[in-house]
Amino acid sequence: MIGGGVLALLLRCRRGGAIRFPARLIVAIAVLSAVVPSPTAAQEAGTRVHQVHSASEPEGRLLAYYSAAMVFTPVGSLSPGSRWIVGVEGTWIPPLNEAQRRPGIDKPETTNLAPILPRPRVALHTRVADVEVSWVPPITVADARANLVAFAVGRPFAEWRGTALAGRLSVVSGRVEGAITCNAGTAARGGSTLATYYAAVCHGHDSEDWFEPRLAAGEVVARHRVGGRTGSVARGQAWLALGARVDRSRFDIGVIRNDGSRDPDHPVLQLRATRPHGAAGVGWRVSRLLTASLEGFYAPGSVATLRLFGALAGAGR
Amino acid sequence: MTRRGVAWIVVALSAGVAACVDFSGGFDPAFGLPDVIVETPTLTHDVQPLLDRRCAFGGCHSVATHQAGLTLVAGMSRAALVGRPARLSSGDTLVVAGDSARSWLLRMIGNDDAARQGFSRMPLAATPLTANQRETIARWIAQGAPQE
Repeated sequence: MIGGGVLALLLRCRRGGAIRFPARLIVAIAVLSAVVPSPTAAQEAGTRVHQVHSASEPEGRLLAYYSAAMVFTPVGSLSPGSRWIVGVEGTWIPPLNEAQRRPGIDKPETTNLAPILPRPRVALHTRVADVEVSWVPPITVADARANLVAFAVGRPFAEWRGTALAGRLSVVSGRVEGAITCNAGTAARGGSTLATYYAAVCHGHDSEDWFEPRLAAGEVVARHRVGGRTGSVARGQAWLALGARVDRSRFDIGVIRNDGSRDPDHPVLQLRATRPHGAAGVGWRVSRLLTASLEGFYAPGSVATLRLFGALAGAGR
Repeated sequence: MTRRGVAWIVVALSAGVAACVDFSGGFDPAFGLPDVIVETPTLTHDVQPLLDRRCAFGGCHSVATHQAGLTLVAGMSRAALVGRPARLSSGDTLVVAGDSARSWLLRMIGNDDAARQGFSRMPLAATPLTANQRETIARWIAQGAPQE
């Protein structure tokens, strides 16, 4: 496994101490998690079969793979000394081979819809904590339409020789839409059997599947400043984050009937897992305002990937 | 940390974390069910679990969808199969109790394309039942398709 070296790198990180967060922040995170809309649950509770899967099951593995790629990691957000930052990150989503796209059945699901997850991000340093917010508006990238929100708060609790240790909590929610279960292109390339499946089970229509990530993560982040005096803006930074996430992501199979309605005979798949992950990266101040960062992210059993982050950063704390 | 140090970290990250998927595909071809030939099978204990896992789910032979007019959920499957005409092949019967060779069901789940008259093997677009599972169903039919 290529990501093994990174895991070894991540494991060298020293464990931090207890994280102390103001109660208000914890309440805010809990409220945000609760209020992010989940239309499926609201509209169709009681009418759909909900299948709960662990991350060791084929269906759960696939759900965990995509939700892991969406974890809201530090990715070089606020560098030491910066007051705010506005930028865009891009996460590479490695394509799955045909065997990996078969969650318990022989029919490959059309999951390789978008190779990159772009995510705008705003971060602000306040006296209480560092706050990060992200929203991916409902635009279509490749063949997937995402509408995702993410929120994080982080607070340093120790510093030693230019390295700050911080606790960080984040949540991700929203929806990605795509024709995953029933896809005319896949059916056309799959021979007569898939064509029959598309005609009979899919009613001859592309499905409108909803992948709904629902993640809450906690991390300890060690951030080392590069250059610049303490209190001033750093020339760069390197960071290492170790954490875990509670994953309740869902996949709502959206087979469309001839009358245009969603076929309620298909289940909603839900992941129930708590999994570790880690990230490490470097960021550099390219110019007075511009920063660039690269982060390696590894979620064991799911994905190892890279994130790029380019941003405008405001100085002066 | 020097600029060179940062550059090395970038190179190490790029090389070591070339994006990859950290799980393998594949799954249990028996779908978690016993992959053995049951000598004297019954519907309740041996055949219905196969139907539940491989046939009677949403979009296929569930109550709501009942593809090809066939509902294979527990409590309805025997009546839907035994002595019922095969919708896809006129003159054939889905399950002829006591005669597995004349039962259309076995042809539809078997690997002989000619015996299926060109229709897709069931389960559709999915891994076939194992040979042992098919033989269990064949014996159930041959022994009169008993409920218990």
